Amino acid sequence: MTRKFLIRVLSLVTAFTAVATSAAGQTPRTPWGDPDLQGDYTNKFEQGTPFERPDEFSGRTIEDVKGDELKGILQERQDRVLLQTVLAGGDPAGNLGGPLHWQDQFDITKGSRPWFVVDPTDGKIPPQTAESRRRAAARQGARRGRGQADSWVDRSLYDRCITRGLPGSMMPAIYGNSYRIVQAPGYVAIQYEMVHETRIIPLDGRPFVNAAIRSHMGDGRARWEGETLVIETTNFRDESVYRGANPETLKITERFTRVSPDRLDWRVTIDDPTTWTKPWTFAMPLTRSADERIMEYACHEGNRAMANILSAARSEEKAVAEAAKRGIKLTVSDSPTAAEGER
Amino acid sequence: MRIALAITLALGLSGQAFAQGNPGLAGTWTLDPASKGGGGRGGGVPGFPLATQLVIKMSPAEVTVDSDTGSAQSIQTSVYKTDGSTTNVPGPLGWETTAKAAWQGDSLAVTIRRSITGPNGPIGANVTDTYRVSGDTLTIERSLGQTTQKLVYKRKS
Repeated sequence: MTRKFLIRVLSLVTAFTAVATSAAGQTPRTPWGDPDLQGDYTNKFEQGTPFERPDEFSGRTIEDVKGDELKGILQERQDRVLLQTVLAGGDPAGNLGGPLHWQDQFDITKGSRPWFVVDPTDGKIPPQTAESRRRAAARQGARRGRGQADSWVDRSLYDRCITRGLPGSMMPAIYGNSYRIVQAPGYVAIQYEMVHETRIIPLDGRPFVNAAIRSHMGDGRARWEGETLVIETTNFRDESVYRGANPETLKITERFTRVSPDRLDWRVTIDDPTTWTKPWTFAMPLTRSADERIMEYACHEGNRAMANILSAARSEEKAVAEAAKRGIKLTVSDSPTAAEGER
Repeated sequence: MRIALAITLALGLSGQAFAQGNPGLAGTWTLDPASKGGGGRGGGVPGFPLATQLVIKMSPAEVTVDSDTGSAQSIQTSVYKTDGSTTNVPGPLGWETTAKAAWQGDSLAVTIRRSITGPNGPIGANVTDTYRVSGDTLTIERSLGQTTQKLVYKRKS
């Protein structure tokens, strides 16, 4: 009797404490005392948002665009995405387009912002350094003489179902915009539906791995700054590094902060002094939803795109060569590239 | 006498009907090479292949537009009823595409709606084409939200 009474009292106290801390704006806690950010999230509502501030908003900050104006922008953004989604209906034989329930472009009016770059306040990525331009020219030079579809290695890592990299794996795209955050004592794990990576990030203050060990998603180390989960990531690879940055010097700092019961603010600072003249930051919300549980991302199964792209390129080359024999000059067209989302 | 009255009435009614519109809209129009649309948010209105030639026919009740985009689908014919009733017009596979047209003085305003049943129910977008003729120039203002794309055509002689 006494034991049951005590349990009831403890339950009430716990419930009261949870309500009190919630009312005070504090993030709920895990059993081991860390802020609890766990759950299934999406940023599909942010699809179609310009990365940088469009010129028409010149002189204005992201906070200036709100209310009915933002509502109108989101409606037009939704309309534009719909008008560009010409294969959304597929075809009667089912050969074109994916099923509509795969696609995430129908809730854009629930988006949150006019553009993503929040720092600098002009909404523009700072200028590239001279070294960065030289590096880009060298990369271009290394590819000179190669076509876009000479081999599978000429296609992007995304086309090849390998990765969208970091932060590309969390940028909104036409589908696959689900993410899961799981915490354990000393670790946080982030799983991405597309292309199905999971980052397991230590929270125990250990140093980064040796600079010689590099990976597409980099090497992350996390810490708590108050209620905010801060993840610093380095050790990127050249072929998947963000926006042509220098994999030796790029540091990406992500900040995840619960701003409401169903929303995290995801804020990403890109710092690479050899690529941009100063660090810059973009941000967007991640919305928690039980309807957004991660699905299997079966990128290879039934995917004939790579074989078709390469065989089409060979056929076209053959046609160009045969035309040349007849004195007709044809040029090889650009191969299509996957256009979904930010890499 | 009765026949003459009937003819007069018919001509009068016909003239009245055309008077609501602009008979000068009829004809063959070719895209001014300098006019590639663009402008506005995102550089124009997406999802509408640019027609390089338009053949427009008119009757008191309808405006028929043959659009030649030069693509594999080549010429697409849209019939707009000027009494404001809705007609089905060509559009992307799997979408329902309808149009409502009305004369606004000398201008013809056509609202095109593309809709589809998405995972959360029906969803669609409206685009308005406003046709204006001045001499041998036809201007089509294509509007989506705050974006207006201006297409200029010249009368083919």
